[in-house]
Amino acid sequence: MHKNMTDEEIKEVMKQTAKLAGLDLSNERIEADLSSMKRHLDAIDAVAEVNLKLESEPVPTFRLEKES
Amino acid sequence: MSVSRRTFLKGSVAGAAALSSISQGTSQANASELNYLSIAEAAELIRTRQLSPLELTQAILDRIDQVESRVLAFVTVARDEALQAARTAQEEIARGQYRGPLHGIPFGVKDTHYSKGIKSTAGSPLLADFIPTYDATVVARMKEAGAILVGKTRLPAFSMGGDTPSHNPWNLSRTPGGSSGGSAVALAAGELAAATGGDTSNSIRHPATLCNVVGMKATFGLVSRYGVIPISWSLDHIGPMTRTVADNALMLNVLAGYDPQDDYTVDVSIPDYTKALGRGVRGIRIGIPSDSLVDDFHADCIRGYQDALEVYQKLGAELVEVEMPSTLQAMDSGQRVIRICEAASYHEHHLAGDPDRYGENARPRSEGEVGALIPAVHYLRAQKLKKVFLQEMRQLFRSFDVFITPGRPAPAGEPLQFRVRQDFAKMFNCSGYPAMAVPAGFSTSPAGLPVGLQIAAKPFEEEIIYRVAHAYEAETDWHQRRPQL
Repeated sequence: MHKNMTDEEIKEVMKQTAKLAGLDLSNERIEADLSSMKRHLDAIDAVAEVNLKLESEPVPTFRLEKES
Repeated sequence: MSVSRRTFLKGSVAGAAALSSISQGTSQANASELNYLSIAEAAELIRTRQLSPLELTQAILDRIDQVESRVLAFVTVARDEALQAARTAQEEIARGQYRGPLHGIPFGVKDTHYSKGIKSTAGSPLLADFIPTYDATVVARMKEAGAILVGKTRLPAFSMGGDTPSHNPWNLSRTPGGSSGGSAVALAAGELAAATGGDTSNSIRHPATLCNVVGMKATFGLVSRYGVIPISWSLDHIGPMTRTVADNALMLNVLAGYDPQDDYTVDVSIPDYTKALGRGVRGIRIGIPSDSLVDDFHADCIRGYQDALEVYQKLGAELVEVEMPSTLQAMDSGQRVIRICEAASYHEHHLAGDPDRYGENARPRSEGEVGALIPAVHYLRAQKLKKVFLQEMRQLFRSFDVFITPGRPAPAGEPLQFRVRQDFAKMFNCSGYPAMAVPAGFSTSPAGLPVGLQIAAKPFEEEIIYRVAHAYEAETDWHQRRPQL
């Protein structure tokens, strides 16, 4: 997804998204966060490669059960 | 008081069948040092009034004075509070009010765990002066069992990052791992016999393996996280860390259980986890990953692992090579997405306030900022993947009783020749299945660094993990070795 983006493009997206998230990130902070951002974009891509069924539901909370 | 092994055995023959039987694996330990007594050994001496909680606590504090400047296991040592609690325990026992095997046993907790009246900094300058007004449930449960809180153990700030700013007792120039590294260091250095840790991405098992101690990441929902500063609510686990398997089971007996303060805890009946110890592994089916998934691990880690599997076969267990879930690699990535998004939610308040208080180059600040930039749809996709992954894990675990892997791909601080494809760690945070790190030997190149095993089982089947781990521990002496400090 982000593989065709340059670092400058990613930094620009970060800057604008941060505003939506209520964060005022300086250029210095964006530079400091860039490598972490790219690692997590890689992780997002890896998840996106899995073909999930349309009816898949998320499990943000879950309770395990004893089987036996 | 000087306690020899002979004195201990003499004093524990009668009326202590359970504890005597579970302390058998420690016969070579240098029991003349009180600070290296196992919980089971110390408990028996306390119960029979051959050792007082005050003597034991003082011995632990003396040991901390002796080695702490070299290993840096603690953020805070609560000396006065510990001595006062030890006196109270001593008086209770003298009155005949013995509470059980943890009564009078000194313990430490990771500094993310709230401790009433004692600083809980999470290793960050941001919380340098934070003093909670209540105890985390795990701290409260230990205190109710009569244990003595000695101190708060070190971690990387807010548990983020693999390396604790402590020194590995087996080689002071090496990392102890993390994030519950201070707890592992304190145990290995003889500064504690009981500690707690938190595990979101391997943070109990990683330092336990690198420091030659036992660390249990219990089933998600078995141990309350109430009062513990989180990384990620749906991935965080709390568990006991000790030097022996039996001690770990004794601690889980106290820590496990439903807590109305933690919505994620599950109301299941809690067995006595020590009951299964000593039952052996004959007929147990052990799932293992294919060789191709571990052949990029450090040679000493592979050797320790293979030697352990041979021990299990000799003891009558059956090995079953299994195929890993198809979503395993993607789920590791999903774990990163879930973790950072939930961390950003926790840190939102701090980031909006005065983020410079995180300090320079602070990873929690960076993770919080990046997590806040990830759209919710990606977080939810990772959580959808988790549901598929859970179904695959359920299917996988039907074909064996326990699943065993090397504890870590490499000993402390050792680089790998290849990029490890799978370290079998985060899969148990995503699934919530219990997994425990157990000592399994030492490296030869470089010499003297611990290597370990990881033993996992189905949800709420900690008993079989303890049984299988104890069988191996009884055949080896790795847990009895002490670092030269």
